[in-house]
Amino acid sequence: MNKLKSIMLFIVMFVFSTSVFATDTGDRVKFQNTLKQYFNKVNVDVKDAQNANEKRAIMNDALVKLDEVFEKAQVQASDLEDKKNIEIFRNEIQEKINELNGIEGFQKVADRDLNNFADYLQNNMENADRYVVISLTTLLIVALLLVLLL
Amino acid sequence: MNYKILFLLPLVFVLSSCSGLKISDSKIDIEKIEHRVVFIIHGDASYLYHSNNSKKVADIEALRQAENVAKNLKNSEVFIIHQKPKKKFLIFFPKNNRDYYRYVNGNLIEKKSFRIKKENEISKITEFISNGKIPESKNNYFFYFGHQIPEEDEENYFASMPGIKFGIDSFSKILNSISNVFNSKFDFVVVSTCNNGTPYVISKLSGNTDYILASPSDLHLSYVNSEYILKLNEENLKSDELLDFIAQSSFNDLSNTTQDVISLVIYDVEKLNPHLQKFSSGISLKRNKTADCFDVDSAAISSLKNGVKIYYKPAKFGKDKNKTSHSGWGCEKSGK
Repeated sequence: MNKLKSIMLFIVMFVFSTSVFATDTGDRVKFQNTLKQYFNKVNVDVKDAQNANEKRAIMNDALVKLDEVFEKAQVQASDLEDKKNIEIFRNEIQEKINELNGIEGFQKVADRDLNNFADYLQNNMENADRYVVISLTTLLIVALLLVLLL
Repeated sequence: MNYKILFLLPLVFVLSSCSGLKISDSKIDIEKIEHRVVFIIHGDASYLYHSNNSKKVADIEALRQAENVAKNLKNSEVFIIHQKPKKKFLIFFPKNNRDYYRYVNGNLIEKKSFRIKKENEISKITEFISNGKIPESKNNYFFYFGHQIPEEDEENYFASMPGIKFGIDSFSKILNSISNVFNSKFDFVVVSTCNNGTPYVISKLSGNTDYILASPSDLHLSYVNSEYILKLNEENLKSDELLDFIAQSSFNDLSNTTQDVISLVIYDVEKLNPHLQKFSSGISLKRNKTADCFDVDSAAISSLKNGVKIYYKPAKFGKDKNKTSHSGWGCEKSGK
């Protein structure tokens, strides 16, 4: 009986330690990965879409939703530096919306280039650790809103 | 047999802060070593990217390429340092978060895992390299893979260990320390990151190398491909020719796979050195606010034209899609 208890205890400890607590890479990384996966899903959906109107609408909706998330986070953020950095990021999102739709002086992305534009959005998101400038508190607000909205 | 001993095994595993595997020195042929390559691969941040809709993790890809180089580069000694995220065992016990590999003539000679604490990274790297290294080598090359290295040492570069400060000053100390162990500066240093091709960074690194390959803008996580160093197995290239081959080939790869801006620049330290001194004390770029120095202050970099070789392609979209050339130097964006 003692032998069985010891083996059971060992198995429980091993499973517990390797599965539950072995993935602690930080909330920041998880959040960044979530955003990258979000744009990958957009990319896949755009490639699967049947026509240019549908492709454009998928990307427009995705960018507008993301902007709404950051707008809410900007309102709730208490750190002034965070507010400023979110503003910079929101401007980048807005520029992409403008280019996609050909407004505010931007040349409209041609129908034949929409798949490439989806790749561009994804590449741009993957290029750098752009969100490291946001404090962890604000980042958690964004993450929560992202989960609720997406 | 007392099976209660099983209960202690996880603790023994956790409490060991260093584990190692010394394979054999018998496979080393010192006479044949011509090239020494050091890889440092940062993996403690978000490195997820997608290629043909499959998920990839940039540091794991960089490690795979480095191991391929280590196994296949003839007449070489290769050191690989992989900086992994901190993980815990049984909630409280930190696991090892650094893997060090040493290959000689294609054979894995030593593999060690360490748990790095706050400030002992440089000493651990130096100790590992100095304990193993072959006395002489004709050529020394260095590759770094990671996110943009901040120009001032700052926290948060290591996502799972935010208290560790890291920046160009720390990075140049690592280079300097390894150079001292090798008793020679590097033939070239590859800084495969975003935005580190700035006057300040190049001036800070110039004391330890003849050439530097870096990007003055964003660089996609599919990075510079280190496997192009295997060209040495086919041709006896000089270090500047080899670096040019790596830069051009990686640029071509990235051009085929990304729609965003691509800029890879080779900095010839000897040619640039007389003009770099004035940039050594001023931070030129904060994180994530990059621009072509030419567009910010063209006069400031007028002396830095001779000594840069630029591989540049603008993003297919965005404000700068019609920007057809780049000075090769990154600066802080003016305005907001």
